[in-house]
Amino acid sequence: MRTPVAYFLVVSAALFTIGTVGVLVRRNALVMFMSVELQLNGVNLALVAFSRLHGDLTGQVLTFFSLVVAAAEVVVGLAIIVSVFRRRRTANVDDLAELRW
Amino acid sequence: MTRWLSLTTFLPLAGVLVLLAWPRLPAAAARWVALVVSVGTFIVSLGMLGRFDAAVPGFQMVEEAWWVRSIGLRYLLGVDGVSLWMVVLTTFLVPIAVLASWHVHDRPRLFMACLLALETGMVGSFLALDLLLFFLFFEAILFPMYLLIGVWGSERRIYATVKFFLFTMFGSAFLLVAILVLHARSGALPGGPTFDVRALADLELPVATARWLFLAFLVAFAVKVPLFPLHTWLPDAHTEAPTAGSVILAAILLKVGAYGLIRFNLALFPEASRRFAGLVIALALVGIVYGAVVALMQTDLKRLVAYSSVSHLGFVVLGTFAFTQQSLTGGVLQMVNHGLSTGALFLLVGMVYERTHTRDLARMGGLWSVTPWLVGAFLFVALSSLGLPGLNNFVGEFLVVLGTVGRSPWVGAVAASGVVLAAIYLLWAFQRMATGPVPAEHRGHPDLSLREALVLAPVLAAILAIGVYPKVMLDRIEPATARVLSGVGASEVVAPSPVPLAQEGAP
Amino acid sequence: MVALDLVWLVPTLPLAGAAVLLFAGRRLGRLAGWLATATVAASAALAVGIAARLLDLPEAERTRVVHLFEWIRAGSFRAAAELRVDPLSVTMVLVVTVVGALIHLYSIGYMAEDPRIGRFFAYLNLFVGFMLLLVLAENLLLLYVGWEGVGLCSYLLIGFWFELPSAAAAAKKAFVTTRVGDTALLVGIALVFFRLGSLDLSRVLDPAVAALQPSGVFTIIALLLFAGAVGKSAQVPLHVWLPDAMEGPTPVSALIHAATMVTAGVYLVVRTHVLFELSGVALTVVLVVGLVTALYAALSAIGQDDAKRVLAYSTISQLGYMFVAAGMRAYAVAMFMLVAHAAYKALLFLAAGSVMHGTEQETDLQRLGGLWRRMPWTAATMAAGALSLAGVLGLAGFFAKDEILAVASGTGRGAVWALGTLGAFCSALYIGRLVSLALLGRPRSDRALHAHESPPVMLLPLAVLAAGALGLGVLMTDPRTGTLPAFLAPVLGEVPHGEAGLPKGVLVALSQVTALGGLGLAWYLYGSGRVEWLALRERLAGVQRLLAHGMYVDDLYAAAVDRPLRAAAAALAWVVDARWVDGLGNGVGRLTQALAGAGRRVQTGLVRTYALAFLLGAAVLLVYVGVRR
Repeated sequence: MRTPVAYFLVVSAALFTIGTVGVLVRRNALVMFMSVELQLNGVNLALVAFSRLHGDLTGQVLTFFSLVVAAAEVVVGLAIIVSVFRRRRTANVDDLAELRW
Repeated sequence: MTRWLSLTTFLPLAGVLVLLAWPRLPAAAARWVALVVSVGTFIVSLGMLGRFDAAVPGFQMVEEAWWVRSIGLRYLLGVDGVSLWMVVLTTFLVPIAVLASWHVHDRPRLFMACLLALETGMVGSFLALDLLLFFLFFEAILFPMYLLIGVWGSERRIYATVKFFLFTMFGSAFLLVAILVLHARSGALPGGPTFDVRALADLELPVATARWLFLAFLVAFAVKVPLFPLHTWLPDAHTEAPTAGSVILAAILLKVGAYGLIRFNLALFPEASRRFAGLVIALALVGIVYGAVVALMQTDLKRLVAYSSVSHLGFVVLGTFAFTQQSLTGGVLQMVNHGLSTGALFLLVGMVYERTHTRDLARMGGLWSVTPWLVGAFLFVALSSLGLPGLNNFVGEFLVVLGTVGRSPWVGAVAASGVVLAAIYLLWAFQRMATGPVPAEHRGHPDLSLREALVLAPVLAAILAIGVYPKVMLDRIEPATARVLSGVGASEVVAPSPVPLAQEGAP
Repeated sequence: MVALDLVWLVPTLPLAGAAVLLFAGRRLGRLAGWLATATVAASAALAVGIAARLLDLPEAERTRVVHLFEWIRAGSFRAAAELRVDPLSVTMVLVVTVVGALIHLYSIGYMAEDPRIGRFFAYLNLFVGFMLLLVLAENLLLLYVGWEGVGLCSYLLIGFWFELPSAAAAAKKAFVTTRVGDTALLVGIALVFFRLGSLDLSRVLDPAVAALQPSGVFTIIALLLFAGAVGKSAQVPLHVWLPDAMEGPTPVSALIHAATMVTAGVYLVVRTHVLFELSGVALTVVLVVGLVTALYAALSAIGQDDAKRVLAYSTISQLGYMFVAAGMRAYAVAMFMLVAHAAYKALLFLAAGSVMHGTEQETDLQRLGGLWRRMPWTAATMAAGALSLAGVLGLAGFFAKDEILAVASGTGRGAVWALGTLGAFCSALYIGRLVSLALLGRPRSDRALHAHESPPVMLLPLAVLAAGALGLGVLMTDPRTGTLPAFLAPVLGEVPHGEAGLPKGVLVALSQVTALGGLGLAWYLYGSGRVEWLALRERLAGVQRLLAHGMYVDDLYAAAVDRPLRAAAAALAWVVDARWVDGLGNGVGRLTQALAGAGRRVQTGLVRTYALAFLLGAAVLLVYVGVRR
């Protein structure tokens, strides 16, 4: 018996929500990134589930796009965090508020 | 076929490019480049003057080329009786301004570049017949002026120049929106949407739309003229600007606003012009009297001349909106006259400042015995400014008063009172500056140098010549103003044909 | 006999002289005076020639318009540079050039020590040029050019010694006060154009205009023109500049403020009398103003201690009489008085100048005296002028003033006659006082004691003018058939004739009683030595002060006009403009800054805030899309 789509969507929503909360609440830049990954993976899961639902490969293709973008984003983001850390000895985003009024 | 108009407009720009492209150009060379280019432009404009046909009421020497065809934007230049003398005045005064600024030590190359860039912008504004092209030249004036005041001005120059820039921008915002609206509505015309002023004059607009557009255009030009109550940028800008800046600002920049009222407001929105004439005349009258009264209270000589400009430009606007042949012609003539007289006043004030290092009338006195020629020239120009018959301003002011009296005697009477006030503040300023005992620190000042005399002589000669024989100018202005007036469609104020003589053959 | 077409030379010669002297005056030194005199004398000669030519022509043809060039044209308005030769303009030209030439000659001596003598004669020539332009102008706008031009020269000449603050102030006061009148004149001229279609005198004087219906428009026009005359001719209430104008060199006072510029107002009224007659009320106003001024100024003159100020008020008063004549339509009589007054008033001023020249600039009557011994020629000529002014029988002044009073009496204007006679008594009194205090008795100061007579170059004009003051009456032996009235009749019409009032003989007798009575009283009080006039002065101190200050009209202006205007101007400049209007502009700037200051706080710089904003935005979008579906 095929698993109902709803199960997948619930898991996906849970992943996304945890990720969102993580981005909003956590102050460590690395943890924020991990939360963003969680969000992305939650979305990926939803995409695959819908693809299976419609019997269409479109969702899975989109997932590939999403994975690539996530990877690229992680590379660049981590590079920035590392270089900022080397300069400022902190990974706390609240300390990096120079663009303030 | 010589493209006179484009040549006159862009020759100064060529000068700018030469000056800017050569960073290590020595100061002396920069000055001479500027002088040669500006004198050359004047000669070219004389060529344009020579080719001008006084009998033709419409635009002449029109140069037309597509710029952005898809939106109907053209490169379109043309001259008529209204703009002709303003172009000549501009090209006449810029070399004089260059000569007057011969001893500017701080970055003279850039200073001269600013003057020449200004010239291109001003001439272009007077000649452009495509609205967007006009807007471009109109805005192009702002930046060099901003630099002139901000870099080479006096103590409060930053405040003055920012104020000048923002005030003008404020008006220009309305202007741009109105131009775009007009363009959007012009789809109905044969030839599609256009910015061409000649075509847009025939556009049928709903009354309300036309009125709003008129007001938008009015705001933009009212800031420039300046019309009360949008005038407060003027005293600061004039006072803080360097001499050449003040001369150009007063003589020409202000007239771009007055010119705009005639060329655009009257031509494009005749019904709205009639509807709001009363308002504009009221503001002009206020400007005449208010400007004169406030001038009376000034102790800073430059500020006094600045407020006198507000008063005098009130006459021009009054003449424009009184809608009689005499008043409009007088107003156009006054644009030139005021340019000459007030330009000369600022030149003279600059010369006084170079000697006394003060603009404060309370600290001057008795200069007539120290520098008789300088003071004599000042008196001559002051007399022309207060409308002494025989000198230039009288002709224009009289025609404006005449035309206005024909429309409404009371308005004419109030306007004429401005003449009394002008006498008071100018002669009182002269009295404080030139008569009475001489303070010790001013005893040894030199009189006019050759360079200064060369700067002043052409202007003074023009002032006298126009006063004695204005026919040369009036003949070329009249057909154009007649055409503008017929476009406005105001009720005619005709003097009765002269009462017939009782005996024929009597002298 | 000079061709009428050469009339353009008449104003041009002095103007050319002025141009030369302005630029080369310093180099010429004393020669400047002779050059200047030559130009005016040449114009005078030309004028005589033109007059002769005119007399040669039959009466009906004594008008010629000489066209010089097109000046202004706008729409239907046209003003050309054209000159008009007719009996009236020729009369004025003769007065201006002859008196002008004499005064130029006198000035060579008077201004000999002044370093800026070249500039002085330049201004003087410029003045004569403009005045001639004024009287010869064929259209009202060109007249206005001359009108303002003489005002300018008056300004330059009153303030000639510009190092003196009082002189500079007096010059400005003169210009500004007359400008008020000038502006009214300008508006009047504009109205003339819109009513008659042209500013040419040929039109204005045309019989077709005279035949028009009188109406309110003409009243306004006439009153506006008269306002200009009131300013230029120093009538009440615009008279306050003339006494102060005495700051200028005395020849200036003689030429401009006695003989010529101030008479321009009379000329204007007389020239445009057609317009005045088309109004019901205007001539009455002229009459009343003239009468009030005549009496007021005559009274004020009695209280002046400065010799020149006596003469200034006297001029104001005498001009008033001319306007009285005009107001009664006796234009030829007004013109004769203008001519006679030019002679004797210029004479009196020049004589006063001679006194100043001889006494190191002493003008205070209290410190003069006994000059008849030290300066006999000056004294004799001054006395001649005084007698003429007082109206002693047979002298020019008699024919002038008495004709006016006779017309008043004859046309039933008893009140005018009575008040005019009272004024005549005052005139005799003040001029007698002047002569007595200056010339008779003993010298009351060192300067008077050591006075010396003036050089011949100054005495000659005095003599010529004295001859005029004594003898010009031959031109006016009868108001209708006399030489001058007959000459002017084609232009000015007949002098009104009436049988009312007293018979002629009685009138003459009464006038002599008045004249001789006034002179006699003055001699008795001031010249005979029988009255301690200083003590009398102490006892009447209040009256003396009132008269000396011109009945405080000047102070009234200062309080009621000057100070409120200045306060209003200050309010406009410092409150309205600096605070409110400018505040409006700056306020917009400040408002923008405030808004920006508040708005920028959105930029917290914290990444998490931005993330929250993303989330909220996305949520809003989703809701929106969902609702739309």
